Amino acid sequence: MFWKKFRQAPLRRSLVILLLPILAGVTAAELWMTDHDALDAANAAYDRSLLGAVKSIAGNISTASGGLSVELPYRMFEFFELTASGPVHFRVATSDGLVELGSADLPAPPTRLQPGVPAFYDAVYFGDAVRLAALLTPVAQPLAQSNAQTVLIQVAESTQSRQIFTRRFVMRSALRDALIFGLTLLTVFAAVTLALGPLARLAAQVRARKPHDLTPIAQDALSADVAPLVLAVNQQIRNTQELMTRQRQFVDDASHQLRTHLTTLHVQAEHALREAESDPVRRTLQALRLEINRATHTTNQFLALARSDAVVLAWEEVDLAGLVKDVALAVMAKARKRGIDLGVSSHDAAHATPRAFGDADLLREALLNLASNAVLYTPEGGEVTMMFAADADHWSLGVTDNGPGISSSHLGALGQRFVRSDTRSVAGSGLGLAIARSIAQRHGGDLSLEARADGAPGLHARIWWPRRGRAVEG
Amino acid sequence: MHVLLAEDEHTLGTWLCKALERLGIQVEWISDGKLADAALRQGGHDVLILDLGLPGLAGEDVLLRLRARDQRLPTLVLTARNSPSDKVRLLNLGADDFLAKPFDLSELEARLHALVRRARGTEHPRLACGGLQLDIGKKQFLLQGEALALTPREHAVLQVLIQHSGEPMSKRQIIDRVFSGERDVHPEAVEVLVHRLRKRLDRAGVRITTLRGLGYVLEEV
Repeated sequence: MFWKKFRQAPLRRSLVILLLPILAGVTAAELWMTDHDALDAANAAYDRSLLGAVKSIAGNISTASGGLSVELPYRMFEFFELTASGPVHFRVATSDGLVELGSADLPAPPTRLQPGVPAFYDAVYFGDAVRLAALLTPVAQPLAQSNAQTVLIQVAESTQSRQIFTRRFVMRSALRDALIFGLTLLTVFAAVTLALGPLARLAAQVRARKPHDLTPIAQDALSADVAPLVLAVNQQIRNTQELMTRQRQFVDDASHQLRTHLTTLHVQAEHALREAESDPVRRTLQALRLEINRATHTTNQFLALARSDAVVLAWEEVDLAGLVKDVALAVMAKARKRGIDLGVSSHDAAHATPRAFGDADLLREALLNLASNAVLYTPEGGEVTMMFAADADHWSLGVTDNGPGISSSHLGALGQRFVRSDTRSVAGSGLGLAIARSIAQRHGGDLSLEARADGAPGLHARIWWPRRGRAVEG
Repeated sequence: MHVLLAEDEHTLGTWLCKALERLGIQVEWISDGKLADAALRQGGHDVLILDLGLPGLAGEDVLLRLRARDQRLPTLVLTARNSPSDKVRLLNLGADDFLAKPFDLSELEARLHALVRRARGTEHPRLACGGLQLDIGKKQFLLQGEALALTPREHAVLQVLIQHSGEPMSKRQIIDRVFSGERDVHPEAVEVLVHRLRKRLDRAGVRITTLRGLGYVLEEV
């Protein structure tokens, strides 16, 4: 579970998750070692002065009188107490302990001493932590009260001063380590961000691509780590490209095959009609021909839809006014047969002929479907008006009718494949709006179905596409 | 009429032959591009019906070779596609007419006759719509055989309409053709002329219809 999450986490985060405990461990170990080193160093320094005190006592021991006497170096002790920031104790005694001077109960050295070799050790004296130095020196003349050949000299000082010194040293070292810790993390962050730069740029480049853009991603100026990824993506793009080419080829082949069969059926039915000798046969053949016409229409719709999905747009300048006029004339006969007043929104063609960019054949197909629908679904004697428009951002082609309109609950579903208006009883494949929508979307726009702007009953069907549509298609 | 049909689809060819022969059109049917090219070299046809997807030699190449030999045989191309850009391409290749599959037999028949008529030069430079005729030589309109008295402007407008009968002409288009060179002609001038023409054509089997936003069209009643 953790590893799965870890693998999915962004590289930066997983690096931090990995590095944080390691860095913390290293820093802690380093601090611990510093603490010890500092203590050792402090002891080495302070022990020297402790030893100095011991040696100056040793130099002032006198046994000439047969007893043990020491001339204490008081002045030195004063300085010594000042630097040790605490009381200083001493003890001078014969090895057998029979004769002793100073603080009698100073803790004994933990090990056996060799004469002339100083020893240093830590101990507790009256509840205070103390550091002691001990030295065994031979006696010049035998003592009266003791047979001992050597004298043990011990000096103790409080460890407070060296503790303060060590603590300060460790504190400074901790501060330095924390700084290095932070700087390391920051550097890792910056380095990873910098190293991942090409990946981020690549991601932005891929995100900015258009839906139908199938050109390979440029492979120059890529870091060696990203290159395999780009190669893989380009391979996938090539596969998709081949797939689309095959799909287009299929649509073309299917179109040719189906049209040929339908043409044959057409010719056969018409020939039979001319040969028919009885009325019942003739009526049957007429019904047959009507059905063939319907099959032809549906097939054409299918092919138009497949083509609008698969074809590569041929962007060119489109004369919107001319296109609307063409389509109006194409459906004019059907409209007048149904007594429908078909017209074009009265822009004066002479000075309002917007030049748009788009695939003229596909746009004509889209508008033809909208116009055919309007003519088919508007009741006899109705009015259908076609329009074109251009504003700063969009171009649009549309048809307004005064038919029954579409209930708002149904508006959303229309324009999807095979969905037909519930209020309309006329036969149709329901593909017309889907074709118009598909074509508009291929241009980077959409189909919009709205109630009429003037509030009258009817439908305003419109395809629009942005002026930057060409850039969208790529 | 003797037609050379170049069509590789067997069933369609068979039935097209039957149907056309029933209409009194002689058909020589060939299903291979190279054979079609050979038959065309022999000559003797009035019109060629050409399908583009031929084996042996593509329909486009048959057409190119035909035109390269400077044979002016009228050619009607059967096409599976029906987009304007395809039509432009076919016309540039040298086709005289085209028909998108699937087509109506009666339309094919009409187009074949029109092609042959045009090729033979028997089509009179005579424009007619319903009971209205224009004798271009005499610059005279005849309405049901009788001369129609028109002012020069009315004559010019009616001529524009009959030359484009079936196709709506906008006021702007009419102004450009009738008042060429004149400035500041108001569209209302056209409305007045059309109004007067409508009165003269009243109940004569032909009328000027207004198509909203598109213009005026002359059509049979």
